[in-house]
Amino acid sequence: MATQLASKRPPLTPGRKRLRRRSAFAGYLFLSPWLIGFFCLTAGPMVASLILSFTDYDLFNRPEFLGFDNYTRLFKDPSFIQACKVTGLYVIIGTPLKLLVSLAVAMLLNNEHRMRGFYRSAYYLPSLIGGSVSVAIVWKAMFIDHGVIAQIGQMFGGDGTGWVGNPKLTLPMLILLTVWQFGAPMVIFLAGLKQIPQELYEAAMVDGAGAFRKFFSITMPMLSPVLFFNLALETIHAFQIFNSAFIISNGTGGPARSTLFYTLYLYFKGFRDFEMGYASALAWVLVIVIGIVTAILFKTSNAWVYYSGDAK
Amino acid sequence: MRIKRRRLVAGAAIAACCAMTLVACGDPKDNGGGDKPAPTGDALVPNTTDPITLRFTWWGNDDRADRYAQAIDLFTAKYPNFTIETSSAAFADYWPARNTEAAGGGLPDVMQFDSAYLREYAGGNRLLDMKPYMDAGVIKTGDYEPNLVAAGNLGGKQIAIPTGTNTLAFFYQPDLTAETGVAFPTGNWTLEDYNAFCTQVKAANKTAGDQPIYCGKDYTDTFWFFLQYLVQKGVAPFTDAGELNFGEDEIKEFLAIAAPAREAGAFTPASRLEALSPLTGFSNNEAISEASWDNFIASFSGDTGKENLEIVPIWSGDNGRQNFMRPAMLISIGANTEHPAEAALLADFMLNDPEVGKIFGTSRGVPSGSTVREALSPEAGSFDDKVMAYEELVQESPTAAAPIPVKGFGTIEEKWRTLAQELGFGTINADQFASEWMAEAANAIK
Repeated sequence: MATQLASKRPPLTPGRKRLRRRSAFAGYLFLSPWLIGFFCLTAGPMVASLILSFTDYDLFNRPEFLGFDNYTRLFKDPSFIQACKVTGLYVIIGTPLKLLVSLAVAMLLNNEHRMRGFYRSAYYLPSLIGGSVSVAIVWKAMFIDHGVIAQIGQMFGGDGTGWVGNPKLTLPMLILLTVWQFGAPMVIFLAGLKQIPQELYEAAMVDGAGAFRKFFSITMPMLSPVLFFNLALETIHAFQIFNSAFIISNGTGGPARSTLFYTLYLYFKGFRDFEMGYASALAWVLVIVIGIVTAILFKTSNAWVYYSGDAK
Repeated sequence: MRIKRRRLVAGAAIAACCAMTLVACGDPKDNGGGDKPAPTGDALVPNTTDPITLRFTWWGNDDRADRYAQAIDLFTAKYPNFTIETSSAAFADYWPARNTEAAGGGLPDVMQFDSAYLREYAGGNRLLDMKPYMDAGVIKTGDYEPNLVAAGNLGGKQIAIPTGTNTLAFFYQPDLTAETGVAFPTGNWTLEDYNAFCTQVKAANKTAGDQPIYCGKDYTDTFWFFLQYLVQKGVAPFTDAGELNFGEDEIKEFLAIAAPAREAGAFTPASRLEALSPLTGFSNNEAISEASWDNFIASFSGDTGKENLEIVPIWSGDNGRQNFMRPAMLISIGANTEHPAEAALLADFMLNDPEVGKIFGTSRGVPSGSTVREALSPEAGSFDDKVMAYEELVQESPTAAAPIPVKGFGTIEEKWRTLAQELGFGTINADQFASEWMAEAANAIK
């Protein structure tokens, strides 16, 4: 490969070689803030946590090597199984629901409308503030005993007890919170909708296609790359839910472990229970699971994502 | 060839970078103080002229925060060269923050400490040995019970000093017993008597605001109550080697005592407690009673807004009540502090200054030092008076030695709380409680 390249190019003079090397050096220098951040804050700690996941590191004492003990222990740990269940449900139910809502709103906002700019900003707003601590607190206040939601429930014959104290309703409550933050995928959908050539719709209209037909035969296929992008991003994002669950459960994962999300459990083990080795194993299992899920998404995408530029 | 070689260089650079990061971040051998030589001479004398900034932190509610603010004002008025940066958190949030700081060698200079976590921190050399400062007279513990001072001494190092003692007690609200017309048990009452009290309160069917009045929460929900139960049975909960001295059977036995009242729905429901958290039914004026540490009366009074809370002895077992006095909380100094002598000065002020003692009263336990205790001279009928009278009353009957928390105590205590909540919700049964708790304990204690 090197000889091929060399034969195609005129040989470099020593001076130009030096210049190239120097400009490459300058390039790396400009990249260095990112490179240092990447190696020290991301890659380094990741490698460290991989090593620690095979030890009994307790934050204080020199770690002792344990082999795969931390990984085998996972499957006997009821809290781990509960955390997988809660997180799995959150991802499987919350993500499609959020995408559905964001697509629906994006399609509404795609119509010509006088107040369109205003509505776009208004609907985007929740996702700007949705991840914040204050919103989680407000969300909790809404769903507490005799809160707004409980009062609405009372109109329909409820007894005024909130959702916060009921282990069966805390997960739906958190799913609603994430669905409400549909702004980011909505904006991406909106951009995708704008890219669809109008003549396709006009041609379909000439052929007598109705709204449903147009949606399933034009919008969906044309939007599928954007849908795929959103799906992958939101799925990965959903696996990592932490803030809202931490705040709504007062940092306990309660009631009755119903909001014990994976990252929350990982945090408890690492920083509260002095089991950083075990927490590192938890982290790596999460990385592997997210990797597998993403790989599956990419594999299946060949079957349902349509790239209009492809010469297939 | 050139390209390949460059890749090799890049690969080596990445590997070197990773290795360096690992060396820098991954070696936890001595992030704290380690075994520094003991300070001598001038190093033991606090600097009271040059500007010194210290970090000080504690857990507790707003009431405690107000008291610390006053105490720190007194300190900076006496030593104007000091600036004290403070922070506080709820107990459960306090520990992850300290643990993270300890791992990175960034503990606050002075902090409130709990005996549940002493063993982990002692093992990691994260707390300063205060013995040299005690010997030099910077921290004065001459008027403390020797046993109490020893409670902060692990492995020959004085890593913590108790602010005071506390012991378990029951609190009740006379306003609510009057409302329901059910009297709180008197004399040497048992847990069965308390169950009966709970069913009567439930049967009275009275409300406070829009909430039904309950007798209180399930008393099996707190690990310390279980320890008290074991002590009453004559079982030391932990062996001298720091292992559990009980098994699943004892846990199931204890949980079974409350089962009749639990199954009858006579305790404040788990869902209501979750909605109220961090308050409880008692502190929100919708439950008559709650068992807790005796020094909690001040914070309960702050939460309930009631001045007339009653403090009474706990239930009796076959051998009486067997109360144990333990360090209510302790003061520690981070081994990483840059100003150990000055931190010792602040610690001493928080422990032994009579004016600070008056500010806190018995809210950090009945003060350790007799000088501070005498300085309190509480008004008759005040909370401080009630707590001090209660501890005197408790010591009139046979008491037991306080169990010394084992390694991982904080974890198993929290696990007990979580499982008790699930028991309340009915998502697990007592057998699952016992086996899951024992499995967690096996990992935490080793």
